[in-house]
Amino acid sequence: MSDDLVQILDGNTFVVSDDRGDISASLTDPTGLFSYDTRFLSKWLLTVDGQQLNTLSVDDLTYFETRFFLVPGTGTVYVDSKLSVIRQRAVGDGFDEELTILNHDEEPVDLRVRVEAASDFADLFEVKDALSKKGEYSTRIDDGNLVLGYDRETFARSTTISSSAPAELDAEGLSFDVHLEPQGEWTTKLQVTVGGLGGAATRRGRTSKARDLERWLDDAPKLECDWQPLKHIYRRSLVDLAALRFSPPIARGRSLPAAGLPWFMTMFGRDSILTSLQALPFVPELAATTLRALGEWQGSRTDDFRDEDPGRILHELRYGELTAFEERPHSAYYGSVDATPLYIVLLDEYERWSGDRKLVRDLEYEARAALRWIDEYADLQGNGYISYKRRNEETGLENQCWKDSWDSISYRDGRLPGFPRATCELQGYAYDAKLRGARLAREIWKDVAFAEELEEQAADLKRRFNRDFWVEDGKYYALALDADGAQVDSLSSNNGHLLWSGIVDRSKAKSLAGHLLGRRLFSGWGVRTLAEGEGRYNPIGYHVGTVWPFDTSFVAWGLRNYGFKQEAAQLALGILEAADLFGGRLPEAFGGYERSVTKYPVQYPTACSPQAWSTGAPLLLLRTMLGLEPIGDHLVVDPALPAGIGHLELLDIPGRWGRIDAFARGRMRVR
Amino acid sequence: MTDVTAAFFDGLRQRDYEPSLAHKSGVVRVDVDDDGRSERWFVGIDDGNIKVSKRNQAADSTIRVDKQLLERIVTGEANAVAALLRGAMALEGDWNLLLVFQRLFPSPS
Repeated sequence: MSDDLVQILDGNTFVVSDDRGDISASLTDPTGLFSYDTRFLSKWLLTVDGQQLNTLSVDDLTYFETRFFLVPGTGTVYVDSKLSVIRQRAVGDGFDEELTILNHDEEPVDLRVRVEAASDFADLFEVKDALSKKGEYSTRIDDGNLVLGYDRETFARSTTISSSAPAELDAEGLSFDVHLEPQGEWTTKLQVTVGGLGGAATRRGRTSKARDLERWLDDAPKLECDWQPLKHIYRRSLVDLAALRFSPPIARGRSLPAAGLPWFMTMFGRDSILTSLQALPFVPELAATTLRALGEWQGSRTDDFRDEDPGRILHELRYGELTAFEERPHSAYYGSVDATPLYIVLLDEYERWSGDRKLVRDLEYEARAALRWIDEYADLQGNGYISYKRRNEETGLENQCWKDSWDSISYRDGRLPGFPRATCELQGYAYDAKLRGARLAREIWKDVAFAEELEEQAADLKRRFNRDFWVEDGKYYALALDADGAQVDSLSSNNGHLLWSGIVDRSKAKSLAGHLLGRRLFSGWGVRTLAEGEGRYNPIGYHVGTVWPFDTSFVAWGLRNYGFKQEAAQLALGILEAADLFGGRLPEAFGGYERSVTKYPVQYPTACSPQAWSTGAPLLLLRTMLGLEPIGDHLVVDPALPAGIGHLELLDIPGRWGRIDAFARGRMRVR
Repeated sequence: MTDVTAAFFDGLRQRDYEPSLAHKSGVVRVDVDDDGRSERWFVGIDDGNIKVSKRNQAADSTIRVDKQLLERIVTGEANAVAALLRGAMALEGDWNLLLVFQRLFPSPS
């Protein structure tokens, strides 16, 4: 998104405007007021005496509130205005805007103030793909409110606009005749309310949101560090994570992380799970909500349109018009093959931190169904590996792993394999899920036979995997096996996820660490999604050369798990230094250019920001630098800091132990 | 002509225990509109045990739907969540319970 756009959000309601506070969106432009995947305002233009205003400053008060200071004028260098205009806007059930005009003159003044309003009620998918509408628009004035409406059969959405000061209403907006005495002030409160989706989440007021944010920050562990940027990055991550939480109508007021602004303010299986994993040592309640909500939405039928199977964890949920009319399959869509094994990974990791055995008992049916899915539904080729091939050929997802763009999975020479595809990290997740599922079965469900069965399957999977995926002439694991069981032999960051899952033979780990920190994969900031030198490598290709901070954070965790502490610390420092250069907020992805060449990380053009798992990356990197690992009822701290960080403290880490502090000292001080 | 809706609820009554509803509890009320005539069903879920009744009781989640659509939903032809988003079916109360209740609907054929 462009930097001069201003965005505020509350769960999956958000406003994106220009720096005057105005909205004037074309169909393909992601500006406007959005809620539940529908645009409720595509035009919101303020004029005074027919003129748009100029911006003096924009204050981001919180993630849900912004103030614009404006003056009339022609936009020349010198602003000599006798008027100030202040718009203070807060997101809620729509948004509230307090509009204030101050007269600094010694003479009275009469003004014509106008707010133009319109809505195209576009589904976010339409904004993304530039599609046209099938329903009817309406405008009416009702009880002093301007109501914009859209109807298609039983589908109805509306935007209601009201003003506290008396306004003249017409079909295109609101007008005010304002008389201001010398030094006088006029103000009105404009309220924009979205309507149509029954059972929507109950909204909290502004003060309750501010209190909630304060409590959220208070509850999180405190960080002390001699490298100042880290404190800022840490706070930024916590605040962004708070902003990205949303309470869908299905979560009984509890919240879970949405994936990212602007396109992905909804529940995603993979993103919600990985973000919850990253945030576990800091805000464990996200994991609990994610597990419950994804459990409730777990697939129970065989539905080709939705790529749904019994036991499968959803990929993406949407509330807009195209989903409602089944022109898109997102009610919910299940086309992800990693979310299901990762669900088990999160359930086990959550219990190891929190000691919440009740949740594991409550979700026993869902967890068993997820484990069953791996063997019964995901082994498309009958060769004992998870693979994917969409059944919804029209609107389903081709690539159902995290690297989901069309060209993400390629051979060294750049050719694309056919389907099904068995990408390597999926086998790692399945291995990890089976071992973790075995622990839950043995310790909590008291089913020893099931535990042993899972452990045998895991051991067998590991043996086969190390034989079939190992690229002998490169000493790394193939990105995937193709439909013929042959290796898709390019070198990728996925190797790091394999370390995280534990499926890597000890004897092979050193070679992987060498690759991950080597010239072809490590850019100096982080690990490239695809290695330099591969046929499709492109430093600004979405999944074929860019660096994804979340990806590198899991690679670092994997390196730690195999004892490569310094290597993990080096990756942590690279990503954290990039975060510092991005003002504390990591984008979804940035260019894979060599650090020494660009000196500055180059943001990927249309990357989402803030984005949940990028927001979670610094948190997971803190965990890996401190070497935090729950063992039984204790938290083990085994730190390894990168050069440049002399000391690091994380105080009041929540878990089954109550609260614990972790301290780390670096081996050398560079700065 | 067989009453598909009645057959669905009768089928539930015979199901008695449903493992996919273990650890789930609540009462779902289904108000069925059949050309102006209304019919009301209650499905109680108690840790996987199912009780179907037509006797009035407090519900955690109320669904209002016309008979034709409900018939399509209980035979797997229509999707309940899409119908809700479309406004073709109304839900009051607990969404979670509806999601779990969906597990009782068959796959599309």
